[in-house]
Amino acid sequence: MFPIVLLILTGFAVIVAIELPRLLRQKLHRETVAFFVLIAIGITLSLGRVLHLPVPNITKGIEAVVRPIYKAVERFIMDPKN
Amino acid sequence: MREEGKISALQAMVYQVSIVSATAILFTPAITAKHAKQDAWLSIIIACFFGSLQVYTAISLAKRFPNKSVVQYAPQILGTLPGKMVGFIYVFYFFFVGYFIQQEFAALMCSSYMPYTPSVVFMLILALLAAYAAYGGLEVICRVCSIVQTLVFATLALIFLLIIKDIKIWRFLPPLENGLRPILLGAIPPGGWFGETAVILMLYPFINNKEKAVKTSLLAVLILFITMEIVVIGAVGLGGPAETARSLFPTFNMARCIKLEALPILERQDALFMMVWVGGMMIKLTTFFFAGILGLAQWLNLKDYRPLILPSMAVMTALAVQAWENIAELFSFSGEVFPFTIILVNFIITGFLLTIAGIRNIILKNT
Repeated sequence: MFPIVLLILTGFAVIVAIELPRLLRQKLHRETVAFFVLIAIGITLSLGRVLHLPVPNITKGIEAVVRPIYKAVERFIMDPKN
Repeated sequence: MREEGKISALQAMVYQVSIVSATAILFTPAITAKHAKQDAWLSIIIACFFGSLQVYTAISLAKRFPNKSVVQYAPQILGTLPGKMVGFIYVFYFFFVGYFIQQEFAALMCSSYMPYTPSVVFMLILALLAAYAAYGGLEVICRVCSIVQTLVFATLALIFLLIIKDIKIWRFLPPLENGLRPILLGAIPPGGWFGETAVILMLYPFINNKEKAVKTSLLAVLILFITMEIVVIGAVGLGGPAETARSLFPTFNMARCIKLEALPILERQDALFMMVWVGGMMIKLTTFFFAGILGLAQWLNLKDYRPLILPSMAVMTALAVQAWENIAELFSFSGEVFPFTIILVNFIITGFLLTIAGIRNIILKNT
């Protein structure tokens, strides 16, 4: 558990180390904010997965919305009465 | 937004073909044959018409706003807040398909080649390659697409020529055994994949000969149609519909089935197929990832998309790992949920935007 967490955090630290100097040098403020928001989402998702925290699963949400549509269309197409 | 260079309509066509071909080659036969059985090739024809309709809708919308992408002009059509929401749906759609591709790639690698490697390794490697390609920009991606697609189609043609003698016509009989309904149902997934060519909504501002874009977009659908037909006819003609529907990767088995008494060196071309397929998959992820990252930067009104490449890649990979627990879940999702999700974005939302723009009569010629 612990080495994986360390590995993930190192990965994100490397990303910050690569991009942040250039962002600060060019004074791209909007970009810097967007950059850190994305990093925060990434850390939340990956650590949530590793530590089994209850992070919402967007894919399951999409599935919950779209699967009933598929079922309805399948019924409509396969129903011999139509 | 920084100028991203110009591409020709023909290069945009290659981009559109690349964005569909890699997964379509591998997954179409199994998913289509599941419902349509021996009439899978008829499903592809229906799907082709649906795909042409989708790409035509997309290009009609793009023509109204020649110098902007859909993420930029959605607020002008619908008003700021709803427009931003629709823009976000487009951006998320590209990342959604992106992490779906990562999972599909990991699924094939883990189940067929390296069963002891964790799937996250494949997803990460593919994503890092895509991120590296995205740093190159649109022009570079288009050129790499041309090279990789040439190899993919050459390999596919070679494999098809080598198995053509083993294809049995009786495997396609009897046609229309259960009527038209299963064929329609089988046409939905490939119809959704054809609709991915609606990426022209993002590319249109960068095309320099825009008057040719309609023709080349429809040509892209035609090329994809021929590719999918070859794969479906090969897989069903070689193994029969039941076998095709049962196997996870029928195209791959097709390459394994090559038998030649005279030239044994040409037998079992699955290694060759694998090689070009990995390249095609990398390109496919790159095209989606690049469209997504470009859209995200435009959505946030940023000057440059490059700082967002690495963090977006990390988010996408995290979503990919989180999304599906195993290959069975992934395949159920790819046959039933995935096509509808992308049709919803590529056709329903695009058509909705076109209708509203038509009613409000917004045409921006020179902005």
